[in-house]
Amino acid sequence: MSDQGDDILQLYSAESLDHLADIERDLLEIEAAGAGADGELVNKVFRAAHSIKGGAGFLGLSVVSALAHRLENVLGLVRSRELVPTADVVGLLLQGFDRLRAFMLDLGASNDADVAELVVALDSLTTVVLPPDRRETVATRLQVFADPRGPSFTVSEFELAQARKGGRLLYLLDYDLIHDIHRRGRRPLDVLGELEGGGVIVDCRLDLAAAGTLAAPHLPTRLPLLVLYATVIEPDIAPDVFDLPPERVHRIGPEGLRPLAAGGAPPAPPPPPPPPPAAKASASPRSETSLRVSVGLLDTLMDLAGELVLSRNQLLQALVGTQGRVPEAVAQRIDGITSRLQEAIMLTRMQPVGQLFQKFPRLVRDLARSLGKEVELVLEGAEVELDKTILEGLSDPLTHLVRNAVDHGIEAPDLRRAAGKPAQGRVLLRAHHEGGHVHLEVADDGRGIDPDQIAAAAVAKGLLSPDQAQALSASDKTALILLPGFSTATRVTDVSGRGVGMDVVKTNLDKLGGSVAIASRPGAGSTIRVKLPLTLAIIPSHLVTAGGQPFAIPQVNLDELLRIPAAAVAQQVERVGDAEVVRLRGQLLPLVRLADVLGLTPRFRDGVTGAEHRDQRRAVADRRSRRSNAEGIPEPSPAAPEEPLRSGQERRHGAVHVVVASAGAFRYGLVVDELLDAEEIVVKPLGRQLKHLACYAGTTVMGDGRVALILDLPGIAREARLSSVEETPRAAEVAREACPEGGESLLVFHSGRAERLAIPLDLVVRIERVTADAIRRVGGRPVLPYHGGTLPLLTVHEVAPVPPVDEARELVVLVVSLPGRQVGLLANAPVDAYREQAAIDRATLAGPGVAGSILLDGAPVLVVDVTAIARRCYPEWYPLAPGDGQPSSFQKGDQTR
Amino acid sequence: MIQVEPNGVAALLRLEGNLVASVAEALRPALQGLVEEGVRTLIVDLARAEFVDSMGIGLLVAAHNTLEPAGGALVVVNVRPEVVRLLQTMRLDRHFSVRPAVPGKDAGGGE
Repeated sequence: MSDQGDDILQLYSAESLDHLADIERDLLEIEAAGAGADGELVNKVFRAAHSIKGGAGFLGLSVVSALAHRLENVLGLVRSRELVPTADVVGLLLQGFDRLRAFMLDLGASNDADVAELVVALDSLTTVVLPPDRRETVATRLQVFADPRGPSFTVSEFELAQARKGGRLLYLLDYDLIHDIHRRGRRPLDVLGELEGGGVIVDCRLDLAAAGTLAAPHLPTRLPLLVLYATVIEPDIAPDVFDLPPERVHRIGPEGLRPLAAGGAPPAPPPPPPPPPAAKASASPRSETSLRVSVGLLDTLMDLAGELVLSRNQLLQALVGTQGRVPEAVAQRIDGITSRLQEAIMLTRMQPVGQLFQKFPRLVRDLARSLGKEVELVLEGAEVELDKTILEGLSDPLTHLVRNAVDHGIEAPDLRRAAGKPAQGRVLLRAHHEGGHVHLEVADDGRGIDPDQIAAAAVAKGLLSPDQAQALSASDKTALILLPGFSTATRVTDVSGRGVGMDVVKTNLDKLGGSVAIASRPGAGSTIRVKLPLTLAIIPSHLVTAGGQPFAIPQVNLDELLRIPAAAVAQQVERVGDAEVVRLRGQLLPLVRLADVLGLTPRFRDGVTGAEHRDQRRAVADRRSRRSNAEGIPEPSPAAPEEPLRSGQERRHGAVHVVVASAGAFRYGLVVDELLDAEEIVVKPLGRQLKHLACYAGTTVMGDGRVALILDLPGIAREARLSSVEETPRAAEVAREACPEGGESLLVFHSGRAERLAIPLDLVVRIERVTADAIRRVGGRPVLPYHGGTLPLLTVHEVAPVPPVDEARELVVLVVSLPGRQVGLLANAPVDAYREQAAIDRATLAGPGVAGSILLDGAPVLVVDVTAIARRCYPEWYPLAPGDGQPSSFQKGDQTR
Repeated sequence: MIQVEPNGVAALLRLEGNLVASVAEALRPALQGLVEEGVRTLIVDLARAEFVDSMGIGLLVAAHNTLEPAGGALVVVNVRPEVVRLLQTMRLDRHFSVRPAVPGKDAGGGE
């Protein structure tokens, strides 16, 4: 019996939690609408309180019932528009529903809880709007007598009085669902809806016994439904209006209402309920141990479990018949079912991120109120699903980010107005799928983050030397707030307001396999982007081969796949310096051959014979075989493999396969031998012996049993020396995590006081602050003693018509990597990094040493062509055609951008 | 349309449409059969039911009347808002468990 009692309690609590699920959102919406609140919405909340009260009364949960009753009263007043749902009223309602929700998680303790204060507050809310003589009605309960059959309903006098407002008369309607509704081709909800439209349904009761049991030979012939109804309709026309015979429309006058038992105790029913079993494992009260799963999915699971049982039986039988040998068909079947079962079980773990989002409207509201700010929270993508574990782990960091946005991001209303912004701030919380990952964004339109203050704080904390800080771009400085120890050590809350505990956020997200990036514009707001895997252990990947071996590329790093047909290779692949680039929608991407980086011999598959051959092309764009290529007919592969390539000797064969990879701040093309399928892979960590290999992120076992290494695309970029930011491991990490959204990354510097110039950020290795007397002259040209050697210095004004560098002002040298050598570009500070969506205009302002121009902050800025300048200043570096320099780090060249 | 959990005490009934007289008539003997086989908890999924007519209500109440004395329970799940409103207005949610559809999860799909 107690078992069953427990079941019923559990059912009640689950059901009540369902009712409570949306309440917070609804109440906030009601608050926002104020006096104009949507009646149906108020009604919905009202009904929820009503349902909870009803069940609680039934189960003897007196405290729950009393509290729900008070909430219902207040909502009743809101519904009848006697009480405006101000922030205070809604605040109290929210508190009340909070308590109810807490009770639902531990019903056993609810009867001992003290809600007196809240009850008094809610009662006073009710009584304030009531004239003094009606105040005690809140506690009085009346029985309704319509005929000699005895009391038909028990309702609170207050509720009844509410219903009878505006001269409404009270009726007891005696419907029969079968005769009066079904037989007339109507539906119950239509009838009840009409009633609700013309009055107030105070209570309702269906004669359950009339429905009989399932064992009855046929459907019931009558189903009486009693409705206690208040309306302005006069008694003479009531039967017609209600479509009922007159004898079943009872007018309830004062004589039909009698107080419940003399001295009837108001809402607290004295009989103590059977206490539910006490030994409830005291799980932390907030963490839910149950999981909501769609019934369709459960069906699938049940089907699969059934099939598994059948297969087991088959297996057992087969084992008997075949002396222990398992027939292949049975093994296959069990195999198939197992994987489908696994998939289905994985799916049960997927939960909508809306579960997490729903607490934020309240959080933002409360926080904004306590800070005296006005904040609108916009939620997008609540339906996006994530693994439950990730979702739970996300709660704290996301709360932190939202809190930060309201607390430190959004300014006080007067400050906002002074800055020409609307007084109400806006926080956007958005989730969306992209490339097999879930992206979460917390964006605010507040004051933004001042990169220099962050950098200064990082220097003050000794996390960074002043020189290092100097070299960082604005976005890198902003990203410093993610540095471990940035904020926890001494809590520099005044840094710019941000960054409190951001490293903790980052650590938490790291554990979930996520990454964080920050974009901010001082004065305009900040956006924190979080990228998360759907689940932890299984990631979507794309399989490729290089040198005859399979590799997996996580789709998180993969932008697109390119197949350049043989005939188009020569056109689309170009050489810049000694490196290759591919032209992709007007952008040039550096190419890296996976086989080269890993020290494998590239192979290709003969399109006709299917045989594998060693690929001898030293460069993708090798044009030696162009003539034969044009026909697309492979010619037989000649030449000993060891022999250096000679022009015209070989070549032909197939298309070039490129994986366009995003590796932190930039993209590149990874040339592979073959593109295979996309596959979900299970990630296995690398063994200790292989841990130090930067090119690999892990391993996986493929469907055919072979082991494939999972590539670390940023690692490969570093290995191929594509990356430009390489001075500190931290800088590398900043670069890796900056995951921007395409567009141009530019470094802006000055020549003279006012002239701003830009170069592609990727070209710049370092920025050195120098003084004029450190610059020497060798052979009439300026050089800088640098790392034990000399760095040739170039200036833009030597070649391009721009104001000269002012040596009296602060000087910087941008160390730029050119094929085979480094050069310094002498310029004036300040230096800043930009990321622009706009493209470089290569026509209008192009000229000597100038590749084009780009609009930054509304003004055109010249984009410098370093290679062209170097060519002018040091023609001896470029004796012949470009491209036969010694191997060097990749150079993206002027026209890369 | 009817699925019985392996242990036999619970059954899940997934309605393919509205709970109306014709459906109710067909279901009654089937449900009674389940009860006779020992089913005590009947879960009715109303995800696809846009409305419930008087006979449908009769069937739900009859199921409740049958299960409750036997120590079981009727639970209706994935109930659409209109139907929730109906069951709440009729105060039937005081007698058996009515669990509204969860917004965001779509009605039937598990995949």
